[in-house]
Amino acid sequence: MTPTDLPPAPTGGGSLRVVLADDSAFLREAIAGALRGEGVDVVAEVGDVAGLHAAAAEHAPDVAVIDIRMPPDFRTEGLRAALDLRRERPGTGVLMLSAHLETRYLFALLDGEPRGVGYLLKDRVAGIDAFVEALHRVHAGGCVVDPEVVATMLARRPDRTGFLSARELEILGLMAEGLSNQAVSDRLHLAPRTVEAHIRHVFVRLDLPPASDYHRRVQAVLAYLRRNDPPGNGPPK
Amino acid sequence: MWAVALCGAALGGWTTLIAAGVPDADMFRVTVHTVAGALFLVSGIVAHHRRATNKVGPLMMGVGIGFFSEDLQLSPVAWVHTVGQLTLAASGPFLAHLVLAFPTGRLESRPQRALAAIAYLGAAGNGLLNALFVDMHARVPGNAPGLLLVTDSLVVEDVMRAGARAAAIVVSAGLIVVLARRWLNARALMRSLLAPAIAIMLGSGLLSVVGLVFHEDRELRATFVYVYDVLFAALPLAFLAGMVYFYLGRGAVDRLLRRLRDPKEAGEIEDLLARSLRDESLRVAFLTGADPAGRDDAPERAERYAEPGPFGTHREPGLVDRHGVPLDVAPSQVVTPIGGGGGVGAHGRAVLVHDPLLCEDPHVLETVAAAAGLALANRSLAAQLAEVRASRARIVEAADAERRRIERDLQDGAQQRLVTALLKVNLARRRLRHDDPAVPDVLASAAEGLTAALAEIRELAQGLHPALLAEAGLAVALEELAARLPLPVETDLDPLPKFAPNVESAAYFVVAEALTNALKHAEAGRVRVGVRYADGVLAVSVSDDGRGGADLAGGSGLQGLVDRVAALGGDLTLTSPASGGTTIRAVLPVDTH
Repeated sequence: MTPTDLPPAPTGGGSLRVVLADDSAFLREAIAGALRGEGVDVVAEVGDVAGLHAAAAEHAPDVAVIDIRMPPDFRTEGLRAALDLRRERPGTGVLMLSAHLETRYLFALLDGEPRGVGYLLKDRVAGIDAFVEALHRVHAGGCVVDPEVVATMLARRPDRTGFLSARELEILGLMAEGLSNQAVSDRLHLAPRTVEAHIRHVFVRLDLPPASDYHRRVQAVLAYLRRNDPPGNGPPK
Repeated sequence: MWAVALCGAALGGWTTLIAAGVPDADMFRVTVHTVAGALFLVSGIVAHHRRATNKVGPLMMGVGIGFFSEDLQLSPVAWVHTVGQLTLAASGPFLAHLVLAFPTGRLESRPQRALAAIAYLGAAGNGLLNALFVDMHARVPGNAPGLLLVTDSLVVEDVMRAGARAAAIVVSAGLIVVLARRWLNARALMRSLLAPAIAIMLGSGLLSVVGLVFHEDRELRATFVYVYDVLFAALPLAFLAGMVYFYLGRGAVDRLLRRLRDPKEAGEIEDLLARSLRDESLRVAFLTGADPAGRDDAPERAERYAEPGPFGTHREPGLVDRHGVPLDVAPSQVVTPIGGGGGVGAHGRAVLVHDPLLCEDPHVLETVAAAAGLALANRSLAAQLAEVRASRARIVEAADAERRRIERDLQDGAQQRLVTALLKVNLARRRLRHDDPAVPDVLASAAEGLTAALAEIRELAQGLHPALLAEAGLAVALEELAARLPLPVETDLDPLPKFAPNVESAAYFVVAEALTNALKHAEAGRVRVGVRYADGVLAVSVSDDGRGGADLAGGSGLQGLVDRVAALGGDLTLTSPASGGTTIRAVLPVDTH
């Protein structure tokens, strides 16, 4: 499930400055140790929302890694803190970690300008390379969505209206996983031109200008999902 | 009975014509007499229609017919005149009988029967002597000759009149005594039935006395006679009013039954029945630990009434009112079991305590008691249903809370540890490439994390359902549970067979929760676990010497156990005085099949 075939992550000058917010101390320490080993500067490790705000104010990190579930109620404190943080410090990237995947959290997070945000299953932190890469992508203003979220949501919402064909949906899913046009055509045994034609059609249907960069492709997937998301399943208030 | 009424009406028409045909007839009196007789007839038929089993209706008709036939002697036709002579005072005995038998229609005692006999025999003898020895034809011109006349004898007539007067005095005095006693012994219901008739009779009596005083004044006497006649005409209406008031019509019974159809509290039923059955002394009561068959046995009841209560009432042992307070019962009141298959209320078997007069209408009383039983049962079932619904909602809620807790335990515990361990394994893999000497430490740390994750999962699984319970049974699982507690636990367990899994689980979790409470909240020093099994009942109890003062509402854990035990038809009790010590006891019926 590790995103493969991603375009190379942008590398900024100097090391990435990260705040870790997770209530599980041993996991926090393990992540911090692994990240430091990869040259990421973990400037603060906090266990709750208040600590997160304080650390953000003090260190002005590039990216905050935040567990959705935090004390005191262990519901969506982390998500709310992330939204606050993005409002107060628009330049800060936010990478949410969640023990399970919820589309409504994703949309809450991506509401407005979906730049510099990410939403990953917590398990992903164990895949050190991909996790570090996701951090860099978020820092660069990109949008990282756990491939499993997309796969699950596409699977969960078959397009009964025929808005997109089955083939187009299949290609959309692979795009969301981060596959390039070439990789998609390899996977589906299609000619690259056919794949490109499908992708163009998908973008037209979604009223999006055609683009090939990963960020825009994720946008396309989200636009599709948002369109198909039934009313009442919006972001939490 | 309608035939009798029609004959009576025909007779009334005829005698009115006869009376009106007499020279110098007083048309006002003739009219009032006819109206009086007719009212007795009509009232009689209405009363009979209301309750055919009650003799009051026929007796009233008897008064009317007798009253009409007295006027036959005014007829110029010989045989009619003779019949009139025989029935000279025919209305009297019927009236006496009516007054004695009202409102039940029965003569209740030997003196009452004797009085009625005297009245009937006196009237019959009087009529016979009158026909044999009084020749009105000779004395009053225009009268017909009597066909039975033996000889006209003033002596016999004097004797006859003296005898009639004596009989009248005896019967009147007897009536006064009977009525006075009946009034004095009566409860409110009987008095309200008697009141109209007694008022009219007292009025008539008073008028007679006043008439005697002013017998010189002719005009005044004539007026008194008119008033007397009018009062007499009103008498049947007074009797009829009592009958109609007491015996509910079909419509009233239907209305009452309709209102009893909905679930009702004992208090509402009491008010409704007291009002509808006109007995304000009526109470809904409960026989605690009483004969469940609810047999109505008068001598036994009389014995049960032995215990004296305040204000001339008696306190029946085991009889409580709807608030559970021992009920004071008047000695004259009777008890009718509430039927309908569901008369058992919170305090025991439901009964009606009421005026014995209501037994005069047994069909209505039984019907109403049965309907009241259904209303009570409905109410009690509705209350039980509400409790079952609440309990069911709590059980669902508890199950949800439990699922949330398990999800949290898994994700915040084991899952975090597994992620951490995976992270460390990946880290070790990377470092292995660089021959990092820290690799064994990283792997050791990962292994530690995995061990901790396993321990957490094991604990969680044990908490969900102790494997030992299914494998080795309740007794072993409880011993093990007690042994693991960091407290001295004394166990006293009966040998136990294998029970149904839900029973074993309930018993186990009661003990587990009680032990947890003893450990966490009660700061107990010692705990005792007892399990008894006898007669298809499994009883588990946990007692500690801790703080006490616990209540079922306080901890949701205990409430959940109450529901769990109740769902199995059992009962959980908590004894936890503020002075210290807590005992939790669950009794579970065990299906031995």
